[in-house]
Amino acid sequence: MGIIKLEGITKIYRTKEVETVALENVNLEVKEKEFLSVMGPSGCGKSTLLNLMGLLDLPDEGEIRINGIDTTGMKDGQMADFRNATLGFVFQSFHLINSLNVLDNVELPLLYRPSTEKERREKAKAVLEKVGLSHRMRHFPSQLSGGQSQRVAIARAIVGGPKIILADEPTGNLDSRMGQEIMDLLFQLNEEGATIVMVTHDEHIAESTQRIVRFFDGRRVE
Amino acid sequence: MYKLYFKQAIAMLKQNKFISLIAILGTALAIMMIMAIIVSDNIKTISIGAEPNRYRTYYIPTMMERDTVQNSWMTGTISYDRYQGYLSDLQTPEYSTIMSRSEQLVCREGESEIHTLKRRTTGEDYWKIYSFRFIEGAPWGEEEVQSGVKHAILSESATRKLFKGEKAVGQMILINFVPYRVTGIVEDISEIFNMAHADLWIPYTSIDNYQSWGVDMLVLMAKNNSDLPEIDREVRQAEKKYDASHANKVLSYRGPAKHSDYQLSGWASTNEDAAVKIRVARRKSLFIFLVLLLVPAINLSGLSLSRMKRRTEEIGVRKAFGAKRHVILIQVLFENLITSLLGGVVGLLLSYGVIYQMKHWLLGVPEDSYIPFNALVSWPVLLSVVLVCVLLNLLSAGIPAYRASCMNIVNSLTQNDK
Amino acid sequence: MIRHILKIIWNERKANGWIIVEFIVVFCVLWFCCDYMSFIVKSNHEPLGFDIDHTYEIRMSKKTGMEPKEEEAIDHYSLVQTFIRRVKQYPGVESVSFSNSAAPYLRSSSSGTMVSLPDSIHVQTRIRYVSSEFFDVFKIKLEQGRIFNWEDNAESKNVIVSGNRNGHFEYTAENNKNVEVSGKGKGSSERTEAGDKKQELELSKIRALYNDHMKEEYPIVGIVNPTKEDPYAPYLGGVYYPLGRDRTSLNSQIVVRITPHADKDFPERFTREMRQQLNLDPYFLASVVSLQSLKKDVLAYSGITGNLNSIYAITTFLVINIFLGIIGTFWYRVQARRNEIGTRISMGATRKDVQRMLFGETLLLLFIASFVAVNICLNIAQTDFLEAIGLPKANREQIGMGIEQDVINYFVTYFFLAIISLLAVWYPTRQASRVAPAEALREE
Repeated sequence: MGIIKLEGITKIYRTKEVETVALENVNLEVKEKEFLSVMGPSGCGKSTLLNLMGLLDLPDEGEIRINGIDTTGMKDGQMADFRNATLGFVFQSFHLINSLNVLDNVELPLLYRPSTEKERREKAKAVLEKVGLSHRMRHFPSQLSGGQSQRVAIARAIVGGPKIILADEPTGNLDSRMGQEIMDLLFQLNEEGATIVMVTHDEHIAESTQRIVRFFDGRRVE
Repeated sequence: MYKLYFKQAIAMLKQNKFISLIAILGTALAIMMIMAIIVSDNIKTISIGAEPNRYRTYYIPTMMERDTVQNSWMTGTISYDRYQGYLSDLQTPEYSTIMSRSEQLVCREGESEIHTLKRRTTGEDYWKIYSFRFIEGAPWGEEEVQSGVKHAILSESATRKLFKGEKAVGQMILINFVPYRVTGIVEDISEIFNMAHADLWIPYTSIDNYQSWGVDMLVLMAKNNSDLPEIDREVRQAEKKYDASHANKVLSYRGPAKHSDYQLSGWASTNEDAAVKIRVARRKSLFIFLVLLLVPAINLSGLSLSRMKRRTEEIGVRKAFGAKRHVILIQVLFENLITSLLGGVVGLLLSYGVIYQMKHWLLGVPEDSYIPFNALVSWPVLLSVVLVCVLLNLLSAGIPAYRASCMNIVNSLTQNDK
Repeated sequence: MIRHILKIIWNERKANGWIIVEFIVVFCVLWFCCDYMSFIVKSNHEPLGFDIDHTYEIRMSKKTGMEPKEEEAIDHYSLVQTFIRRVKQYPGVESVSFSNSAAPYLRSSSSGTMVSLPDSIHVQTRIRYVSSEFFDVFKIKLEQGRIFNWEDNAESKNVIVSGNRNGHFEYTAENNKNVEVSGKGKGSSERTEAGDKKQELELSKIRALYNDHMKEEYPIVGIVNPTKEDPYAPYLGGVYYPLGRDRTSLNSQIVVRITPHADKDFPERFTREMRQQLNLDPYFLASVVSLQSLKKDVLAYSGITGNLNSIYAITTFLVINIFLGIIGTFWYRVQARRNEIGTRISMGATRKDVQRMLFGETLLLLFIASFVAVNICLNIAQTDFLEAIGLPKANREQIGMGIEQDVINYFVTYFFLAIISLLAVWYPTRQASRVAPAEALREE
């Protein structure tokens, strides 16, 4: 059984006049410790897929099971706890908090689970060490380069020890050299046991991952 | 957790200096106005210093008598014959004194330099109700008042005016050309104690023909402030006693009034009139507070809403990483509270400035009087300031905070990715 | 252009909602402030009918401890004569008046009902007892007839009258139910319908006043100009009686008028130099106080000073709030719309156009708010709301303010707020219109 299971997922965006079908009857299974790429042209629904997997949004139809648990009908608070424990996000535009320094940014997920300040500090430092940014602990996001920012974001994503990492175009805003650094880091994490689902439009990067699923107009194609 | 919110709030204030300044100024202004009113009120009603018993002191300042035959009314200060035998025998109060105040010409015997001083005439209980520090001498007691001896107690500054450093106790002074002996000197007190303040004190019995004069005020101090209903009953009984022995006359005393109520309704002629005045005064205060809170709250709400828009991204991230709704709500309210409290401190200090400048209007004291520190900074004042800040905070940040916590995560994250 | 702006306002209605609500609240409060201030200004403009510049009250006190027999033996009138003689010799003293329940700001007043002759109408008037020089001290002008000689016993029943705003006495049909109103005929229904309505009686038509109780007639020998008690009181009809000997003593109201030239430190000088001379046993000189300072006390006591201070304070408070509120809101609005502004500029709008658009938006928001506010204000004015809350209310009837006052209130409040708002918006708009188009468009 896969660690992530999507069955019959449909997501429709409705505005006053227009109805957009983002995903239609999607089935997908992600195995544990897998490194999966999701590809497709702009507007094909891949980001929506990731959002649903990350419980950032709710599907209109279908079932999502993560780590064996059925997430349908989960209340807001339950989802928040679940996300905190099981998932880690990496976004294309980093989404670091500008008014907090690097260390505080990385600690963020730990704030929302029972922990002492000392524990938080230690875990954050350890993880920053791992991504090679210990020397930038007290700096602010505005003082970092694109690659450094994304590494901080990854540190934040893994500080809580989540089983699953969801990355939405992690190298989209970076040049090729920085992008490669980020991919190296992700591969390292995957080797250490994390399941990674990555959305990308870069064919070259996708090919280095274990599996690719493709989407077109909201439907899986192969 | 809160340390982090605090750190972040400070960092955000620094990053948006202009808007933060406007928010803090707006809060400070509101707090300044509200605290000016609250602190003034506090000064007028708090039990400290020379009037440590305001909370259990009651006043009977005037009377009204109706003639049922001629259908005419007479109102005014209580005459001595309507005090003696009626209000002089009240059992419930612990202490009671009659009291008048007027300006008198005072000079030393044989000297031509005449000063106009504020003279108070009192009974012996006066010195037990109010608190004075005697530099020399002592207050008079029951025997002195009974005998009507012409003894006077001077304030420190009055002594300096008259005796210019010479020893005063034992010397003679002329009050309206009537000789009195100085038997005590008290430390000056602030004019905010408007019942205790004077330049010189004499027993009311020392005035010739005092029985034909009126009584400015009867002051009663109870053992506990729960004794008021009992005192009221006794006063009403005194009225009936008078009516019984005076055909065709109906007497009503105004009072016994609490110190705080008397401040609001001093000029009313009957108790019913006073009650109306107090009701109106309370409604007026409420209305003014509403306006003073509401207008800045609307201002700050608009500001908070705009600030919120800038933080949607951050809130989305926090929620993505596990922050629940109420956590976001508390965070936003807390951060806004920092601004409110900063504004509150500034506002409180500004309000002191306002009170100093507008002493005459707000407190009814002359421009050159001083206000004791513990009247300005007291527990009720500090508690009020915090309460007002929290109230203002809730009013101005409540809705924006709630809306922030309910935001859809995906929309928040993609807000700026257009 | 206006429709264009209205569209923008509607689209941003959530953010605009706050500003409109604030405008409404502030508009209402300022409306009533304007109303009251108009009353104050108009009242101040009306002539008081008397003048208190360079006038001082001389207060005498009586020594205590006298036997009743001694008290009775005092010849008050002769003491007064001596007093007047000595005071008039003091350099600078123009006139000295003695009175009872008469002098302005001395907080003593009396009123009563008399019957006018020949029409037999019951009128209620102020009653004043004065010496002849009272009118000189207070510069009250004689309009008809003459001033009585208060010291002449033969004149002791002669009186002088003054009227209301129109120079008439007022009376109500209520007070005259049993009386025939001349010229209207007996049994006229106008009598009962009139009720409490005030009617007026021309002073020149009155020959004398009649006191029902004492059965005495008081011929009118003169008419003086109408007077008010203080700038904010109404003109009330009054009767001046000669101050009788039985009422005259050094305890009466004593007021002197001095020449402007001599009005330097008068209280201190006079007290020092005249103390000995005015030691008229058992009376002695207690103090000399200017009527100007007494006036200040009276205005404070009546709450007028307090009301004015409150109005200044609240107006300043609201103005600063509106100012900050607008700056804050528009600052953000402008920041968020930088791209819009950039687009407009790239399409040919000049800086002035952009500024004008933002100004227009502000004024239109104010206009919408003012419309709602006016409705609220007019409704509140109909009720007793202000009195119930204890807030200062203009006495419109007294001063003759009508509907035109509402129009004045609206325009004054609108323009006042408009100026504040435009000042507040000026800075953000200046910043906005300075934006280089490319930079603004790149924001996204």
